[in-house]
Order: sequence, then C-alpha cells, then structure tokens
Amino acid sequence: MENRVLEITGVKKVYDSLEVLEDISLYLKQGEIASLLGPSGCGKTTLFRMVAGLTKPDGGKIILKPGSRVGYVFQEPRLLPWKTVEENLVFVQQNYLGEEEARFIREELLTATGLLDFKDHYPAQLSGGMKQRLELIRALSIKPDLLLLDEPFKSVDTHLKIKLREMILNFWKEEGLSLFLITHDPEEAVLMADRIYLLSDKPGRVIKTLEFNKPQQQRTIKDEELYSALEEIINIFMELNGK
Amino acid sequence: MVGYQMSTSTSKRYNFTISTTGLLVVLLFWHLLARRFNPLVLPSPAETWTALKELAVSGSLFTNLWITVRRTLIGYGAAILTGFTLAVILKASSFWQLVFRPLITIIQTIPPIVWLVLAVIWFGIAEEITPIFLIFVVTFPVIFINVFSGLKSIDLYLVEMARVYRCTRRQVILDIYLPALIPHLVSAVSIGLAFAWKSSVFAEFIGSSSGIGFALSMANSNLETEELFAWALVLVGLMLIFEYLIIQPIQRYVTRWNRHGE
Repeated sequence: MENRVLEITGVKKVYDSLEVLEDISLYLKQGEIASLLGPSGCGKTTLFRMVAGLTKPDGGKIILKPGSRVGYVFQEPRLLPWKTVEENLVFVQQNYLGEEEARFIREELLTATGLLDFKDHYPAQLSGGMKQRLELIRALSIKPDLLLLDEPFKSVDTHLKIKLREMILNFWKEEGLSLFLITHDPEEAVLMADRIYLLSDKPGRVIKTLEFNKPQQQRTIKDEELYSALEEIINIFMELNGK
Repeated sequence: MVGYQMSTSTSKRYNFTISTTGLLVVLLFWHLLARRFNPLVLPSPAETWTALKELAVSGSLFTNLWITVRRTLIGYGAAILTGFTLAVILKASSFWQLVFRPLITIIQTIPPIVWLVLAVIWFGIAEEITPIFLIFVVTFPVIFINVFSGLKSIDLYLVEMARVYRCTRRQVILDIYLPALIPHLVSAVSIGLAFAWKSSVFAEFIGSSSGIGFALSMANSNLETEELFAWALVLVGLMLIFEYLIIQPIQRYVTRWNRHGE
C-alpha cells in the first residue's frame, strides 16, 4: 500500500433498517485530494461522520493512518458563539499542539484569511463568509493530516467560493495534507480532485472512479480532459435519475 | 457605525425621558387623588415620604429590610442551587426524569397560600423557617423549569464538533454546556426573583414576627396606612435595585457574545 492516509473497505451503514451506505470501498493517498460526488441524501456526510469517529459503521472497516489528525469543516459553521475568533481556534488546538506552536499557526492562519483584525470578535459579529473562513481555519489550526470538507461552499456566493477554493488549495499545497471533499457540484469536483468517487443514490455505493493528473492550479473548466469528464459525470447522473 | 451609536444613545435618552415622565404623571395623579381622600384611605406622596423617614430614623426600616433580604437570599439561594442541580440530574437520567418531573409540576401548581398554611402548621409562627420554606418552594420550580429548558436547547452539533477535536468531557462541560446554560440560569434567576420577594413578604405577613411583611401587617392592624405605603415603596425600590443594578448587568455580561455589531 503506497502511503495511504485513509482506507475504507466494504463499509455499510444502516439507520432504522434503512440502508444508507452499501459496501463502500475507497482510499486516500497522502497529499492528495479525493472527492465524494453524489446526489444529496446518498450518505456522503454519514461516511465522513464515520471517518471522524462520530458514528460506527455497521460493517466493513475504516482505517486511518496511525496517529493522523483529522480536521473537519462542517457544512454550516459550528463555532462556539461565546468564544472569540481566536478562542475558537484555541479551543480545538489545546488537545493537539503546544502553546507556542499553536499561537504561531493561529496568527499565520488568521493573517492569511484576513481575520487577524477580528480575532477578538465574537462569531455573531462576523459576516457569513468570515464565519465560513473561521470554520475552515479552525480545522487547519490543528495541523491536520486529513481534512474533511463537507460541502464547504454550499451556502456562500460565487465570489467567496472561488476565494475559499483558492485558499484551500494554497494550504493544501503548502502543508502537504490530504483533502477529502464532499460536493454535489461536478464542476467543483473536477477542478479540485485527484480522484473522484461517484456515489449512487441511496443506498450509496461507488459507481465510478475518475482520476486526474493535471496540477490543480493549472486547471480550468475549458480544459478538454476535464470537460469531457464533466460531461461523463453529468451523463451518469442523468442516467441514474432516468431509471 | 457612528450614526448607529448616536441613534442608540438618542433612543436610550428618549426611552428614559418617557419612563420618567410616566412616573411623574403617576405621582402627580396620586397627589391629586390623595387630596380628595382621608389619609387613612389614601395617604399622599408627601405623607408616605414622612412615614418612610420616620421608619428610617426609628431603625425599624433597616432592621426589617435586612431580615427580609437575608431570608430571601437564603431561601432563594437554596432554590437556585436545588433547581439547577435537579435540572442537570434529571436531564442526564431519563429514569429520574420520570420520577421527579410530575412531582415538580404538582409542587408548582399548588397555590402559595396552601404552602404557607402548611408551613405555619409544620414550623409555627415567629420562625425563620416559615418564610424561607415558602420562598424555596415557590421559586425552585421556576428555576428548575427554566434551566431544564435551557439544557434542552443546547446545540448538540457543537458537542459533536468538540468530539471530532478530541475534547474531553471536562472541556465539553466547561466550554459548551456551562456557557450555553448560564444565560438561561441568569434569566431564570431574574424571573424567580419577583416571586421570591412576594413569597417572602407574604410569609412574613402571616407566619412570622419580623421582617417587612410583618411590619406591613402591624401597620395594617394599627391603621397606619401611610406606613403601609412606605413599606410598599421600600419593596418596590428593593426589587428595582436588584433587577436593574445587579441582575441586568450580569445578564448583559453573560450574553455579551450574543450582541450583533460593536
């Protein structure tokens, strides 16, 4: 096995006799970006919750590289409203890093995202975009090996989406971490992922895996390879819905 | 931002002016009305003020005030502690919830006068314990219910987030449960406080031989209506002081993170 950060084999999940995930197998190599792409309600978030240890699979195995740290960017920012921007970061950092290192990383991340001037503000005093940025850097502030991103751009406007995407790619490149991205937007998946796992409707299973080699920073949607992949994905989803 | 601040301070001043004017109108109305009645029925503001000064000079004011305040603090303090603890225990265990929840509802629905009569039977008159018991039994369900509903409203998504980041149970309690709960507790304390004063005076009126309630009952039986009014004024002042100078600043402090903008 070549340096895998995450290995999922035959994972199943059942909620109240309703099968949410059926025999999911996938992996994530160190330093790569993988994307889970599928219709809403196909169990993507459930899979993330299992990776993060919030719920157990009903079958199969989830193996994280020993000692790896997992950061989780939730769909809606889950910030502690009674803690300031900086305190929200400290809250998660305390269990991973020494004080000195934690402060250094904090300042770096706050500066990079333009939040340094707001470090003593409470979440209620921030705009939606700022909260989303804080949610992102909180996950980064523990120096994660694996970053789980659950539709981080779902409720932000296009302009901010592009900025956030750039920001994430920059961190990813600098830190050499692995990204696992949930999305239902094929374009986003194609632009960001080294590997895309296409999930079927409920119960979710991997119906196709697509791989891309082109460096993320050079990708545009006009690129022929990406464009045809995009078409392929859309066709698969259309077929699924037609059934 | 500056414009916004100016408008808040202007509106604050405006509100204050309105409230003060309202109070002055009531005072004037009281004064005019009192001129038409015997002081035995309705003493004037001036007569009430004189009675209040006499109470202060005689020392009766501060002695009784302190007795009532002390009893209220003891009874209400115990109620806060019990209500809070019970709410936490019951939230954590569905078994104890089934046992105690109906009981608390029963305690709450029994009228205070029934408790008071029982307290007099059980503990007798002239006892500290009668007013303290009444304050406790009337206010502890108020605290319990408010804290309990506060516990129910805690955002479990935040707890889940904390679990992802390897937070310990202690961190979750100190940094999530407690800060989420404190505003509910403070507002519960504020709601219960009015009940506490009323129960305290009520119990003293009937079942005690000291305190403001007892002084009220003495003034009543001696037909010293202006003294009755003076004591009522003292009670109002006491409640206002606690509410505006103690509870509200605490409330503002514990919810400081919940205000939008600067």
